[in-house]
Amino acid sequence: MADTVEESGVQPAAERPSLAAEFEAVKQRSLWMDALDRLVRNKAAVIGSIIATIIILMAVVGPYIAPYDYLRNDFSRIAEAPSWDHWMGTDVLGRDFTSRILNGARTAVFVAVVVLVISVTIGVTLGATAGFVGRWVDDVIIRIGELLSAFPNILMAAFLSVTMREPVTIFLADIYSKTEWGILNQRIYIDYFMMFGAISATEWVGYARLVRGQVLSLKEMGFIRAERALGVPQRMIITKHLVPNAISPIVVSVSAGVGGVMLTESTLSFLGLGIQPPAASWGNMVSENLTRWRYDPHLVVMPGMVLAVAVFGFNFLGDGLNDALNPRAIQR
Amino acid sequence: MTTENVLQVEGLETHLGSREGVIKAVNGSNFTVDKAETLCIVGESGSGKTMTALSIMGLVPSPPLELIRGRIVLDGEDILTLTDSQIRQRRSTKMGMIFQDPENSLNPTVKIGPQIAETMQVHLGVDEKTARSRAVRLMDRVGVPSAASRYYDYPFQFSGGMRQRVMIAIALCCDPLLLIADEPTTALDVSVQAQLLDLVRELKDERGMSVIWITHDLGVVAELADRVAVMYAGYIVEEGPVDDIFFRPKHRYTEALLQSLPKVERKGTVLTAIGGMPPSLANLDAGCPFAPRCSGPVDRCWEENPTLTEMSENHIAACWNPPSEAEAAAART
Repeated sequence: MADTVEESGVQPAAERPSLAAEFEAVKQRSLWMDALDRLVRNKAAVIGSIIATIIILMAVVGPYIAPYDYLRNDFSRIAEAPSWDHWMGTDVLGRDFTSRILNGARTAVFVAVVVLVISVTIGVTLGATAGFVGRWVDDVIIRIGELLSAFPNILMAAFLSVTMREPVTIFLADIYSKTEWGILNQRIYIDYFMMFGAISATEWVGYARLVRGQVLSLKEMGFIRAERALGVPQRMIITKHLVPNAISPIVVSVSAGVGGVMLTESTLSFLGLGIQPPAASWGNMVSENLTRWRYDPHLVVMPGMVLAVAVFGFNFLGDGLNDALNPRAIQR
Repeated sequence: MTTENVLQVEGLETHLGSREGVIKAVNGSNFTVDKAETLCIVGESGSGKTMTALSIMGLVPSPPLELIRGRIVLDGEDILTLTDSQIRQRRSTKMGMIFQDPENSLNPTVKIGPQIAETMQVHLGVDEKTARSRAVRLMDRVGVPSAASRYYDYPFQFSGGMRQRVMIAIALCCDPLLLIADEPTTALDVSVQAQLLDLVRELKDERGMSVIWITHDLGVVAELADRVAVMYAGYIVEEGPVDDIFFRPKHRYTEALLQSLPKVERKGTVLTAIGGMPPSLANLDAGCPFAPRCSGPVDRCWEENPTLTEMSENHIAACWNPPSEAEAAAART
């Protein structure tokens, strides 16, 4: 120990021999471990993450555990109340409602995940570029974002799915005729592609703004300058100092964004502009069964409830992450 | 040029671009810093003190940097001829810097100890364990109480003074020849400031390190400096041993600065201020930049910018009409 002290050039006036021993007793914890710790102490966040996990599980394994084929009609049993063989009853076309809810979860999660991947990729890239490069690049990116977000996002998505469905269908059919990729010939996938494009078109703007703001403020932060003054390599400054400071707001808004995108998708499907029947979406399940709401309200309430719970769950999780990722919230 | 010179700055010019034109933030500075010597650079806000420091560190932001020229010889190497990555390697190992704002100078998401250890891992190539044990000793040395148990604290759990101690520890962890301190105590209260000055003085003596201390607080200068450089409008207008500057100033600006200090004997009277504002650095007129605010300008001051001339041994000033001993004495009371 003694020689290391000399090497580092420190010649402590009164070296305390106990220092090393004392230090061994202190346990090290990473930022992420601390965050996890704070997350599990937050009840709302725990509930949120349980809900989120259930919804995602429903999406992944739902179609395999569904008791019936979600497209099979049984016209002898139309709009039945919940019973032992149909837990959530059957819909107006005699399809098992449980199976449709489970498939609706797949639609909701699939659309939300793909839309967020697209939006976050575009948003982070453009936002970081705008923030770092500045000048006219910044102006162009931000103006495009403003232009797109000047319309309410549902309106924009509705507009895009109405106007673009025809050309996209023709375009995909064209590719199909050349490649014979089955995925391009199924109506449901065309619906998915439409949803990805229509929702992402405005969704990325929020992330771009967020990242741009983060980059602009972090670029001027004293500690970034201090790290440079210490001769820390650029790569290390970015990975160790910029990203951890910029990432938490993105994680938080992605988590809250999942709920938002699910809601948008359901709204569009409810209006008949999103996922088309017979494919299942919580939104189109509500509209399909709307004619029977007086006699069988559960057919409208069930998908709505599931959607509401899912959105709440992801929002709670987002809130919890927001608190957890802020080191100042540490409890001593 | 002897080996005693740790830093030698010759004809340093740092020009920044702005909307009003080119700002000559540093305008042909010459100075040297000897081994184990403390040079204080004083001057008002915007006089080019910080830009001088950033130029030495190679940290002038670009943009707005337009032009930097001259020679900055640190330990026998001209910084301005080095590549970016070479300069980066010199930082921490040959020159360290501490900044004004301890609130912002530590990464809020990285714990105190690892922030110190990181720099040693980068520059000295030591493993994590060695870096850790050195870092904890450094924390103890700079006066962080119970350093071991505070190693994994976050910066926000430290007070401003403690954070500045940590910044000093980080700046010194690779044993630089030169420490540049840019008003590090401005944001702190006086008692903490006094402790930090003592700490820096002790560390300097222990390590034989040279210090450039930038401040506008003449009290700090009196406390710390071996030599003083006074900057005004991007020029060094006077430079000399600390006693000469305080007791025999040879520039009207230095005289005015001393005059504006509050004094116990004049309690109850209005403080003396220097009239007017510092000139815009974008368009300096011919003549001495201080002339419009000067107490004794002569005709020549309006026409020709004075050059630095030797007033007494090791004491240079750029003034056409330097204050006399009697005037300087009057300024102190």
